[in-house]
Amino acid sequence: MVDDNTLIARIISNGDQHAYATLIKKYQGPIRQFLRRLTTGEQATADDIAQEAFLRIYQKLDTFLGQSSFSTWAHKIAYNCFLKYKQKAYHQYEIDGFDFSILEAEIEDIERDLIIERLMNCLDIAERTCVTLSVSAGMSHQEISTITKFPLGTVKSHINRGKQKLIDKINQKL
Amino acid sequence: MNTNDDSFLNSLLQYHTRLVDQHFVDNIINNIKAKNKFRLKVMAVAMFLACSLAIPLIGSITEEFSLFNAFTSLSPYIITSFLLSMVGFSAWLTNENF
Repeated sequence: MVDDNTLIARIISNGDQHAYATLIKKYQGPIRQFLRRLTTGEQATADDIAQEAFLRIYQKLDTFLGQSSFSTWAHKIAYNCFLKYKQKAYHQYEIDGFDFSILEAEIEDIERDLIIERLMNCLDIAERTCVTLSVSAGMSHQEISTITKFPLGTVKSHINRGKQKLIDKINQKL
Repeated sequence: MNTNDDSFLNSLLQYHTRLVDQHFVDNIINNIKAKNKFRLKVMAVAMFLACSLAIPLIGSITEEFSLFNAFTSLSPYIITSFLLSMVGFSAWLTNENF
């Protein structure tokens, strides 16, 4: 498997679109999942933002200096695309009528993901972003701070507060 | 928050489905190709316009020097705004986001 830096070098030097397709294949999963959590289950919207993010990544690839991992850099662009989108009004799902008890049951992964995406609606955007990047994407606090530009202490408190809110919400609903 | 809650939440919040979609990849690559095509077309039109203006000037180059002199004798405000608009157009043309 060719590493990210080799692929990036190929794209920058001769616009190799096959190399970029390989890069998209590798990162489309985490980026799309991240955006689905941020848009609280608006999957079509999340995929539109992901497409926009991958176009911007392609356009800005020559500015990638390798100071952070490509994954962190790509998440940062996706997060900025989401913030840009958020400035427009968007539909928020009502979660009060949602049955969370099925989380304990054996359900399809795709259904479980959708419920979690909707559950994210009880968090504000900063908490949603920090919790998703920390718990779901497995990023360090430093990486989250790079993506969101929040100070380290703020990242930690957003994660703790967000997790507590989610636990309260689930306990209340179960 | 007890440990059980925390580990339950952590397992719940993982990405459970693996999103791999060739259609998604193809869409982006096609989008990039379309943008590149459009950009090339605009550049070709700009080149054509520049050539169609420049080529007739070659035959009467000495006369055009006087035209150039006439241009330089214009108000500096007009010259500056003309140059700025040309630079702006070139910057837009070479901008990666365009």
